[in-house]
Amino acid sequence: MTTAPWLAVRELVVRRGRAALACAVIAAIAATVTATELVARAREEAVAAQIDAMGPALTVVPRGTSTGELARYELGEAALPASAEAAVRAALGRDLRAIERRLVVHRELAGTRVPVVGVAADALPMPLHGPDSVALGSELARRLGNEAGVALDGRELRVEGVLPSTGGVEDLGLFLPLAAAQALAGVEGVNELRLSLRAGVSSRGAEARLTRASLGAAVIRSDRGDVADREAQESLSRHRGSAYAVMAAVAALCLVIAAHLDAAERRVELATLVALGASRRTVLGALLFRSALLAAAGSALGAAGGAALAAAQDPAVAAALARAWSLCVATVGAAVAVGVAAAIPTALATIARDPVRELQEG
Amino acid sequence: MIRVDNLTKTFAAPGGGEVHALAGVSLWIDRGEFVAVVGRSGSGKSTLLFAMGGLATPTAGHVQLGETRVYDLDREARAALRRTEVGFVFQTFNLVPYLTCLENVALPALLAGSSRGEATDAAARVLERLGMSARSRHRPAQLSVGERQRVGIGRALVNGPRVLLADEPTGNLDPATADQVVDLLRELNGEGQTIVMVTHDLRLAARAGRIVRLRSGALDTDPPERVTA
Repeated sequence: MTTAPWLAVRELVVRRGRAALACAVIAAIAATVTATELVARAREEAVAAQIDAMGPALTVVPRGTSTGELARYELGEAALPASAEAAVRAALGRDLRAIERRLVVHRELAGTRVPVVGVAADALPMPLHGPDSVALGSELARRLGNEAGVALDGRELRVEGVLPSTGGVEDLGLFLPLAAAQALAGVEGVNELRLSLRAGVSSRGAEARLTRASLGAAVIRSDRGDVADREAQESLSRHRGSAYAVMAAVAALCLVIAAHLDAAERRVELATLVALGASRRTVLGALLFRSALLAAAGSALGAAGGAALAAAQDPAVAAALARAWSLCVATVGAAVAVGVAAAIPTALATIARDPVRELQEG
Repeated sequence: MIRVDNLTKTFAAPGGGEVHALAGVSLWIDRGEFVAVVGRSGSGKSTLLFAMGGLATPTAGHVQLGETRVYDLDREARAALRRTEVGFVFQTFNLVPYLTCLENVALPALLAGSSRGEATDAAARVLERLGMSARSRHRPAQLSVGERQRVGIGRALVNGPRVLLADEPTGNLDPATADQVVDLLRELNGEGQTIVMVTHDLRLAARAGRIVRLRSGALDTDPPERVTA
């Protein structure tokens, strides 16, 4: 440790009572910022999860422009190109949160033409055990009289459960393992890729990127994508930035005052350092490092306290607390930057003073 | 050793005009001398001392320390000169209140680029020499004023400076303690240390090897009895 940081550390450790007030103000601001940000992020994730439950943001299906091609898709005869999934991943990169692969065919059941949907075994709220295991959409279950079994193409299928109502066409669906659906339709591959995007990613923008990516397939943007965009815009995010800027300004003002009072009180001490041969850089460094240390200590305490406070008040924050460290690090980093910037005017004024006058007047 | 040539220091007066703190002072101090600078308050004693230490840039004239013309150096080079060639002792001790005695004495060595271990070892040796080892872990507020000044002298000595510049080192001490401090300075001088001491106490000044008197910023050739505080 060079002389300037050493002096700053010793001064703050020994005279910590003098710095306590400034430290407390910084801690209060850091706690407010951290708690607000953690709660806001938890709320945004909750909103995103609710929107995801409404269905995928985008669906990739076989391209079809003629009635015949659309009919083939509906009959499950047309699958997506094998390269489509890789092309989607390449086009969306980190913005893609999940891909659900489905094969959708249609069959007569209970006097109605219903969608028969092959899904991954873990895609539904209840597990599907084997090729004869199915789950029913809520409306289909009602029409079938909630029977424990159902016959499809002459096969007896075991009903594992009824899915919650979505208010959409899936309420009429019969869900079975993807391999069973492929065997039923005699189709390899899938004819739907349901894409979930990361929170805050525009579904319109993602649709445009996929359209440019030459998937050899059509992209359908569902209405919930618009909802997601709107919800994200209406969240706290628009206002958080300006609120944090105001708080940073208050913290900076507090640190400016603290640095000014400190330098005024230590006039003779700092002039003595110059008389002993301290360079201007050493004196400047001692003052800047002191302010940075003060900001770091206050913000670290505040960030930890804010995270604990937010976790105590919001179970969603508590569940995601392990991810809060990056926010705490960012808060401390920002506070240190503010601390250094706030001390610069005072430090420059201090090293510009005449040390002889300070020594004689002190 | 130290050569002061026609040194002039002028300040702008608050009400307009100029104040001549030093008016063409010329002085030669040999290696190993103990010189007392005396004069009334405002006569320019401290200004002369700080100018000799490279801390107060003169309006005219120059100061030569050894072979180096002090004010031909830039500010950072003068700071480096103070770290190694000059030791300041102050009337109010000016110890850093949050550092221990050992750390205060080690501070100039750290500023000069010594490692923590080297600086601490050097400071411990100086405190031992001054009979202050038992107080090395104490802070200045826990010391008597006489002990504080011993630590201040130790801090000035730790880098082995060519010259010790003491600005009223006994000004805040009772007569008995002041005598002890001057005894210490005389001891150091006896070991070869060059010392320049500003004081308004003629009794103590008389114990130095030579007395230089200032009046209104200029050397005074009147008898010493007329120069009183």
